[in-house]
Amino acid sequence: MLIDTIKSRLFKVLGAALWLPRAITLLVFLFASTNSYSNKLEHTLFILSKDTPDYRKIVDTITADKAKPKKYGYTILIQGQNTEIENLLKTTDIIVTLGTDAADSLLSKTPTQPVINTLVTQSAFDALAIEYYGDVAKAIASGVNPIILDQPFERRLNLARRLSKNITNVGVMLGPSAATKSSFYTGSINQKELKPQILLIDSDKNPIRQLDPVIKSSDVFIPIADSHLINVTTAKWILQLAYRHRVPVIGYSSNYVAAGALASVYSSPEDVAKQTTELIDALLTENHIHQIHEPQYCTIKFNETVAWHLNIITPEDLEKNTGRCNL
Amino acid sequence: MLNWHKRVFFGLGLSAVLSSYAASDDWIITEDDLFAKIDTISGVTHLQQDLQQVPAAVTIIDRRTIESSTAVDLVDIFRLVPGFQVYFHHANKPGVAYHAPGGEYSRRLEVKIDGRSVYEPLLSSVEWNTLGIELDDIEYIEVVRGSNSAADGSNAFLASINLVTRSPLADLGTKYSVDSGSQGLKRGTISHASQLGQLASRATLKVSENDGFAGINDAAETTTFRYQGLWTPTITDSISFQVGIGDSDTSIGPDDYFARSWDNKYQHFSWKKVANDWSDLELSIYHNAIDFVDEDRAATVADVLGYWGDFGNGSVDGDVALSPEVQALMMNELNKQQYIIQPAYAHYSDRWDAEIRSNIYRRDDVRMSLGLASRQDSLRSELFLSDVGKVKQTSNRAYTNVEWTANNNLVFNYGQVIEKRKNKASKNSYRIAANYELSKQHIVRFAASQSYREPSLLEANHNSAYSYNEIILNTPIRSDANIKEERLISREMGYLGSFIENSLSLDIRIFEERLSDLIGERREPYIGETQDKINIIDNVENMDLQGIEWQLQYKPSNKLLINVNHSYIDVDGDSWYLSYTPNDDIATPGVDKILPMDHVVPQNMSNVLVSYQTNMGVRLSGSYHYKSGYKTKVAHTNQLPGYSRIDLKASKRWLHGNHWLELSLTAQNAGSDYSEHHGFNNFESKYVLGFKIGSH
Repeated sequence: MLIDTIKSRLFKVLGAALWLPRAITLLVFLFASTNSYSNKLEHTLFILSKDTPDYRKIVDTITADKAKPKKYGYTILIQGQNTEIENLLKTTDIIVTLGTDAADSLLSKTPTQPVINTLVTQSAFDALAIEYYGDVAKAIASGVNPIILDQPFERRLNLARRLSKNITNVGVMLGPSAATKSSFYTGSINQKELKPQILLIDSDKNPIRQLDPVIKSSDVFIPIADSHLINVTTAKWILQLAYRHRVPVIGYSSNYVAAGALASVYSSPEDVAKQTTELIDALLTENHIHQIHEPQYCTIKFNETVAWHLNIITPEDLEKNTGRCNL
Repeated sequence: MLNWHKRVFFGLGLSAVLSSYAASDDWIITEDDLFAKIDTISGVTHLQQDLQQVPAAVTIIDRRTIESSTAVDLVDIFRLVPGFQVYFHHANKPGVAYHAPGGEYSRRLEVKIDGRSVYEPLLSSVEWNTLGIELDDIEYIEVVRGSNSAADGSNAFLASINLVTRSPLADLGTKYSVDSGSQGLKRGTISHASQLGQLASRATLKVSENDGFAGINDAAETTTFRYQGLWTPTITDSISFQVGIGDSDTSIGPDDYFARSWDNKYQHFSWKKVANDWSDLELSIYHNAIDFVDEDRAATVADVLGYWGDFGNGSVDGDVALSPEVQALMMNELNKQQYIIQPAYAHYSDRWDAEIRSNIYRRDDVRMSLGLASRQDSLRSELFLSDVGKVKQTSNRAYTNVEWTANNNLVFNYGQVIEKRKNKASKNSYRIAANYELSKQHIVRFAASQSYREPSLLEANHNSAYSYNEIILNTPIRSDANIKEERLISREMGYLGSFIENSLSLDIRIFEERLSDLIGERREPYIGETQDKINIIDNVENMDLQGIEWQLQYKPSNKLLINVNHSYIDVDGDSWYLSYTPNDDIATPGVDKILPMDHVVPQNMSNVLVSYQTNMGVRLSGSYHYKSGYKTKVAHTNQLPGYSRIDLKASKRWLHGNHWLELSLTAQNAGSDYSEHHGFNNFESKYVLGFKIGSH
């Protein structure tokens, strides 16, 4: 009898012990499903606009970084190459889009999970938010977090001042996309106690006739990124006229420096990856507030041949992937 | 003629571009707009590519390198390109060759100025002294090392050079420069750039003279004028045009230094249209005309028969049996005194070229360039063509270059050109290459190509004959009736690496080039009044080249620049020097005289340039150039000794308001003399003082 009793109690204890992990798992599951920002759940869906090296590099950097401390699940989709996106959306916790096309595709589905739109410009995000959510505030409130690609104009102004102390007149070229923001640029320049020379480029008129007087009267020239067509077709003339008048050009991309700008401040793939990684972590905290994220990092690049021509010594402490942008 | 599928291919490509002229109405800026490529390498495939993507080894010589160099003449700068041989046939007859032997008329190398070919059909070479371009006029130079026929056509057989001159926008105002130095060098330039309403312009007048090498009658005087215009009616259209004229008095040699007077002119029109975000279209039309008059030793019928008629062994009535017609001719004293070698001969050549090209970047992973072109060469020559009148040749070509990014690390390039000469079979030249990215800083490239070089108009039609009363008394040289294209099969492996935050770049090319049917001269028996042999222009040479070349460029700051290159070339081949059978078309080993093609190019060449700008603004440059010994002609038994030389330069620019002034002193070969290309060309130390003044 005694033996039977002992056996019976032992089995009960064992039975309870077997159920215990299942119960804990159930509790965790219940807890997690009611709080999607838990640290326990991490499956990220990356949607890339294109399968090109820069996009891949950003994803590789993020996933390598995330996989270091713990196991990390993720799926990579190329926009337009997978029709299973609806199913994937049901099982993912955070969605990261890279590029405008990927953001467009995802936001059109108004997902319920937190979303990071990276590699998007301010204008592209604004347009998508208005199209799919009605306005930018509603998109943010719905859990959309854009990391803006274009560096603030102020950083380019600061870079110009670091390169030359004797700047008074700042020439700025605006294309059709940025024409409505003319007052913003004027204000930014005035705020630094500098004189703005704003040019609204007309694509149907002679670009040299438009650019020459502005560049000639400027101490530094800053073209604002516009559509591909405007950027490519004006860059050649801007750089040649700047050479003619010995005016430094502060560009917005690595390519602009390679083509002949004195310097550029821009978001490199490494910068974008770093900020995106940090934002993914931040989204998993309970108190995260969705918002528009200005670029935290920046890369500065100089063209030494142009510096040589302009007789400018480039500051060595700036030409690095500087961590938090110190401009 | 192109067959139907090729016509459809090109037709569709061009119509796709032409139909896309509606400008984009997308006012949203995307990451693609921010990342847009602005201006990169376009000389290799005509596509805008990074050095990491191009299917060939490329050397870029930018403005800074030009100004930092110790170069005095334009050709000097090509010492900074690995594998390039710079030489002076005489002081005013420079030559530039890549891998192939550098003869008096260096062929197999396309040279373009802003896209206009300056390869002359008359002499099958580039006449550097007539170009009207000097180092000061150049913005940058793009050199494709290796065949670029797939993009540039037949002349880019072994390499191609594109000299991109400074835009009329780059300067404003008037600039003067004066150089004075050894060998009686005097050089002056006046250049004025202005903005006349819608038109950006630059006009440049150059005069120069020098006495040439000491003890040799190779002096030269040159005057050139050039006008560049640029009109950009809208942001998507740019129209540029250039016209130029030149007059140059120099000499030919080296056997006898007879005078040669050049007159040349050109017109070049180019319209570029950026159609939309993903395509552009370019139309280019140009015309080159070059005429020259060669002084000759005038000779009468009697002189010719007397001078040549003995085959070098005696008098005219010695061991040669003249034909009855000639004997009858000689009976008349008046006939004997008739001049059949004139004191001067005139030669005229013309080239018209039209080309339309479109680049299509619609897809990120596949980009292509499509082009159609037509060229007409014509020439007239009293001597080279025996004054038969104008000889013409029309050549059409269609080409494509496609770049395919297969994955993140692998880029393929394929290029093909089909060239069709009138009444001749079409020829296909192609190139295929794969660039593999080991990491962002390290690229390896594997490439193979097949190229053909058409015989130039003169090579195909040369027939120098001295005749009187329709009796041919002497024919020193003529072309073989069955002359055909030269052929190149090339394979290469390349490496491109960048280090120290991209301030140091290393480019290595390992190559194997198999050249066959190269056009040269052979001799064959000939039964004539005054000769027993004749020189025949024919496909006589075959060469196998293997080697390695590398260049290192280091620009750590705007003060220091280092440029180092080295090339090693091993040559094996043969040259059909003498045939024992008249009208022979194939060399017979063991019977004909076939010479080995060994040491016809320098096996080793090294060049180092170091330039440093002091805090006082003085730029100090030094360069070292080494060339190992080589034979200047295949029949020579001895090699010209190798040489090394050191060049030095100091310069400083002063700025005052909108004005600037620059002084420079260059010493070329600051050491003992050496023999330049020929034993009798003594290159002494050469000092050049330069003075420039201008305004912004």
